[in-house]
Amino acid sequence: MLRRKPKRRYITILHKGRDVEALQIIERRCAGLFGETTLEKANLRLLRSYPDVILVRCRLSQIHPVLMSVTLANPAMVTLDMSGSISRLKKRLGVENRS
Amino acid sequence: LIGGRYDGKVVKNVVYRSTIPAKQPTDYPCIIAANDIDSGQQADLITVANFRRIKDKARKKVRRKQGLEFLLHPARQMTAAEVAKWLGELREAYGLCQALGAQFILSSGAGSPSEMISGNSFDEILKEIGIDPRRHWQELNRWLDHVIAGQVMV
Repeated sequence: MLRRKPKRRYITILHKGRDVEALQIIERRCAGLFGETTLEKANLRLLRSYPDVILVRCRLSQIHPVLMSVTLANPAMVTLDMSGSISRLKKRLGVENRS
Repeated sequence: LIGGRYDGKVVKNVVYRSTIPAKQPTDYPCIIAANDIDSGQQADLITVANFRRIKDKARKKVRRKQGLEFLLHPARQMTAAEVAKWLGELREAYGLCQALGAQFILSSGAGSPSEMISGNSFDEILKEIGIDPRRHWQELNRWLDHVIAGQVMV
């Protein structure tokens, strides 16, 4: 059987504080609201960090819990954009110039 | 976009909110908002802080085409169990709004840009409540047009 690579989504998130802490807050919220299994399935990864903005990756199948967790995270965070490819996302946000 | 109070500067596509009806025609769209269901009989929109407390009153006092607004920002401070309950309340509130012919409004309640919520995230919350996002935004647009159409503007 052909093994397909799971589809992913790249999300940019506006936050305050340290990038690693922001990701931990999202992960904690996701685990609390939807459970550790969902968090594991989401395969949430921090890819890049810019001043006040992080670029994370997750599985498309778990986009719903991830976006809900970002929205309900405390301190507040904002989902800036979302895309299926990292290059398109960076181009759209113009983050290449921010690093 | 339903914004805050009018501060003397008209921004395009922003509907301002006020607690009292304007005595003269204005040059900006404005809706009358109330925080209390008892004093909000004439208001276009009532902001609901605790749905459990006003549920029975709402059945009697909310008019057709009146908006019931629920804020999202208090949910950030809630625990996971509280969020689950809050989502359940929103589901119930949506059903009540449908039954009464009132407009269900989910608002970020943002006081700063960092508290704002993106369209995608709003859609996910709506899906969680069991609302079709596309239908919701269409209904909300129609409701806003209806409210603004009833207002005298310069």
